[in-house]
Amino acid sequence: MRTQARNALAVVPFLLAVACTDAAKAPAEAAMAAASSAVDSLKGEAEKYAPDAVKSVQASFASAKDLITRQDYKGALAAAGEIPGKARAALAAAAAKKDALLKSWSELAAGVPEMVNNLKARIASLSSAKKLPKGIDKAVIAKANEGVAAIESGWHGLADQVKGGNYDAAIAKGKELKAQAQAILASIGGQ
Amino acid sequence: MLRRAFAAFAALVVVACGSSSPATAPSPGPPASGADPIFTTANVWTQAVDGAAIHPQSTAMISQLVSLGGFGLGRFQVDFSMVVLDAAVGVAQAPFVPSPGYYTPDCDTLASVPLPAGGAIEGQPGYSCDTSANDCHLIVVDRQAARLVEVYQATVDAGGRVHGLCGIAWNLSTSYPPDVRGDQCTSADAAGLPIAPLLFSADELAHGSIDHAIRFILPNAHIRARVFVHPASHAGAPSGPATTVPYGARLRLRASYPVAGLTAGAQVVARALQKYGMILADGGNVALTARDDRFTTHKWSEVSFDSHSLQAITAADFEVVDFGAVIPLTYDCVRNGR
Repeated sequence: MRTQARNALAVVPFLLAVACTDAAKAPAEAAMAAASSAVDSLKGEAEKYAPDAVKSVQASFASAKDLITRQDYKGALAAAGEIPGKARAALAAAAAKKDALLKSWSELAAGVPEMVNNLKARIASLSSAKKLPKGIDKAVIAKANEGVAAIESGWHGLADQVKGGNYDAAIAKGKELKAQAQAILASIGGQ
Repeated sequence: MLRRAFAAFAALVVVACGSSSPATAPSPGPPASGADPIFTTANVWTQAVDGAAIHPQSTAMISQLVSLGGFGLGRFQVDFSMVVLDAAVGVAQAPFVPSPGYYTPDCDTLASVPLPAGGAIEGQPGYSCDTSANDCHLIVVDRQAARLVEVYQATVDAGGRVHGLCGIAWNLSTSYPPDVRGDQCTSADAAGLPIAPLLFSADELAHGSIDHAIRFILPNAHIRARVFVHPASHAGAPSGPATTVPYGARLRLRASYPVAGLTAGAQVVARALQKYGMILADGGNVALTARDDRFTTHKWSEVSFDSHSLQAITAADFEVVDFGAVIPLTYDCVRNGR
């Protein structure tokens, strides 16, 4: 009886190992398949707008694959199971980043042309004035005119950059032009 | 003996291999509260237009708008970044510093701006905003002083001073005339209108009604160039054809639109669009602007409303309410004393 019990106890770890391995292998493989399609979903805009988050998901997937290779199915199941959630978070981060860029561009695209129109109207009004306000002379007006022309020329082509998805460059240039417009506005009568 | 051993083994397998835990039930939201009107007087945006005449060129204007691509991004999307703060009694007043190029005479000479602790500027976590690429609207309702302060291109510096390119102090007990603060005069919004009373909120959706017109936006290229109509008193830089809608146009969702097909929250907005319509107030891509729910009692998630809840609605579902004279845009602001 004692020998029987000893033998039975001795096989428990082996049985446990087999039970866990067998139970985890199929779910681990299924989780890897789901993780793989989650990683695939990150190609394109997610890579562009949330590169760090995408790299982190790809690294997690590589680790899970390594665990499968080493037949650590329980570990692989746990690692792969987290990947779809991380991929969704990366997609959400990319969408948020894209929305923020789009909002910035959209506000610049509305604001800068409005400033330019305002500037043109002020310049026209000053050009036809019989008496110029203190601190403004013909040279200031001429310089403002040149500045407006430079802004209009610089603005041209930014829309194409945006169509090509190059928001960062378009926003950087737009910011520069906005600052120039504001400076001209200040030089001809704004505070 | 064998049965007990098997049961013990099975339990061991479950423990060793892990198991799932039960899901937690979501907690209930706060109780519903009523909508919160900002102005105490009737104004153009609180006038119902469900019985108003349609503009004779409504069909042509809507067709043109549709052919230009309809709403920005090609869909009826909602932006939730606009913050409206309520100034409590005795709130600190921050000094106001006009930024270089301050829009004069359009904008007001503000001495100070009420600045509630813990507040924020549009789209920002706090009071600091990168004005180089963002509109950075700061909106504070000061009921004690019966004023609504709206600042465009606002940011607060380390010394607590508010900087802005245009600041307006709206009088909450005034019924503004058709030319609002004067023709050709802008405000913190391109159309020259106040922003806050035209925003809708999660509180209003929870309450079940929105009792005012809603602010809406189109890309500049979709808005008629060089003109505006009341209640706008100004326009940004519209560049669209002469046959599309002008700044200030009020669009009304057709009464026949099948509102029942929308979610409950979206139905509240759609019904407001049928009764009060929406007023074209700025250039941009995201059509509708709603209040950020960080500073409202109810949250958008509670009322099941998100940025895509109205996407079934298209530009073709609207009609243009009749408007008066089309006013050429000169940017030459003449204030009317308001």
